[in-house]
Amino acid sequence: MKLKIITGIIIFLSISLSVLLFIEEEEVIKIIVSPKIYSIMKSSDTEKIKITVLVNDSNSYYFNKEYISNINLSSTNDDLIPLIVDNIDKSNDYYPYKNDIYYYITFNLDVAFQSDYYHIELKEAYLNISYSNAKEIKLFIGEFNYHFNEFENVDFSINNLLCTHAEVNGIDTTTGLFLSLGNLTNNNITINSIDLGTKNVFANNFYLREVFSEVSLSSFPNNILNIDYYDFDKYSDYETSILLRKNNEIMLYVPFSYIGEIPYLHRFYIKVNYTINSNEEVFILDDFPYINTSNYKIELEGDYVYYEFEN
Amino acid sequence: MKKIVMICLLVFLSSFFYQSIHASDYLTYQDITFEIDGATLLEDYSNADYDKYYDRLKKRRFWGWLTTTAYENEKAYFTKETLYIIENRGDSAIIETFSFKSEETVKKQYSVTGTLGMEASGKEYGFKLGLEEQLKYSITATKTTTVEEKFEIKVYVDPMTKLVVKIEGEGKVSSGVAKYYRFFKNVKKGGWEIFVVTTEYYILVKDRLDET
Repeated sequence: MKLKIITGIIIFLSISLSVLLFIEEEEVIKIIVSPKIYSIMKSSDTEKIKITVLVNDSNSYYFNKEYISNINLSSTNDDLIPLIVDNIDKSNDYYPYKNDIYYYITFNLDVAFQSDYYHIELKEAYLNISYSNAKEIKLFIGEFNYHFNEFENVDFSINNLLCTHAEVNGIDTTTGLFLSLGNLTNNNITINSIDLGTKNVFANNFYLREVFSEVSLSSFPNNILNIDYYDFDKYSDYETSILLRKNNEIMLYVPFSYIGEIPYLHRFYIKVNYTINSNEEVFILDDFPYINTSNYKIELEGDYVYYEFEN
Repeated sequence: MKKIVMICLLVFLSSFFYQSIHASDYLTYQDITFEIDGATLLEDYSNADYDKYYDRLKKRRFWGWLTTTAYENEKAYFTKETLYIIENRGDSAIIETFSFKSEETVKKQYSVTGTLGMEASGKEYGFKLGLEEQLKYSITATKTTTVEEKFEIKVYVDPMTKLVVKIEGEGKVSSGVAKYYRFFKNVKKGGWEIFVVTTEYYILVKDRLDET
């Protein structure tokens, strides 16, 4: 009887070991990045920089915070922004791509220094991660803009805010900004221009106009501006002068120009450049999710960057 | 005789509850309209619709699901309820920082009717008994993300005004009916629907408060 039990245990262990030997570990880690425009104004300490990638094996040590020894952002100009990993989110949702299944991994990050007023601008940003086993990865994430701003502007109130949207070159994206500003001061203000927190997409200030009726999400720039045709590919630097009288309100619209490599813009901060009492000032409006959608979808697959790393 | 009347009454009443819907929160959206004419949400299926779709499932199975799809990834537009409101009933402007999370919106949502069931697994909802795995790949393949994102923005609110964040969006709707068999016996049947929010558009609007 004992012999039978021992034989049984040996057979069971042999089968278990054989099965374990045949379970193949992923040979390579595949990572897909959809480059996007990061345009963030730091408005609180709880706000994180979220960088989402697709991976074939989310359980790999590459996505384990404990194995990360160093993480930073770099650019082609030798800029280096040190980061801190707050945590790494792993989603059960999958994304099928070219006969493989990929899972969403999100790095929740902080910039590793503080500032009252500082601007980070990386037109081509790379996420660099070093691991405790001396391995390293470098991922192109798109454009990265991060603005520290503790200064509170009390000259303006925001009354309405939205972006018109449409397909530009086949991708649904913001096409222009509509905002209604209130002058909270006892002085006249001159609005000179509006800048977006990105170098891939520009506010076309040649067409910055005061408008006299509210704009809807699906309005087209040419209809709002009363022109025959609006060309998203053209841009020229321009300043205007739009008067906003004291204690008054104004509705403005400015269309966008897509002149960079990244063909869409969803969430971003803006700068309103204005003159008050002969002083040039800037009003910075926090980043707002004008469009909330995934940057992993069929129409963006042509711009995906694919990486393989040894496991 | 009384018993017969009571039984008939109960059967009659139960027919009203038969197609009661169990759904995620998308059915609370203020408005959902389809791009194509004639498409409807599961909650608007008529009895004739159910009869028509059940007719497609006449075969029996020893065990498992029989399903049919009435609408496959139909584009829909929606308006959600107001997300956030700041009211200032004072007599001076206030500075507010407001924040909101968008994690539960860009994802798949489900609803069922009849005797089909839904279940929760962690934070995720889905159909019971593996119904989703039986549906077409194009319906079940999720190409959206459920990544949590917290947005924070500082705003100035004038006296006697309120700031409102409204959301409009686009999604894809798939729906149909299904029957579940055990030992050739149909033990569950009803309608199913998957609503995938693909894009949301956020709008900040300031309205004046009623002074009365």
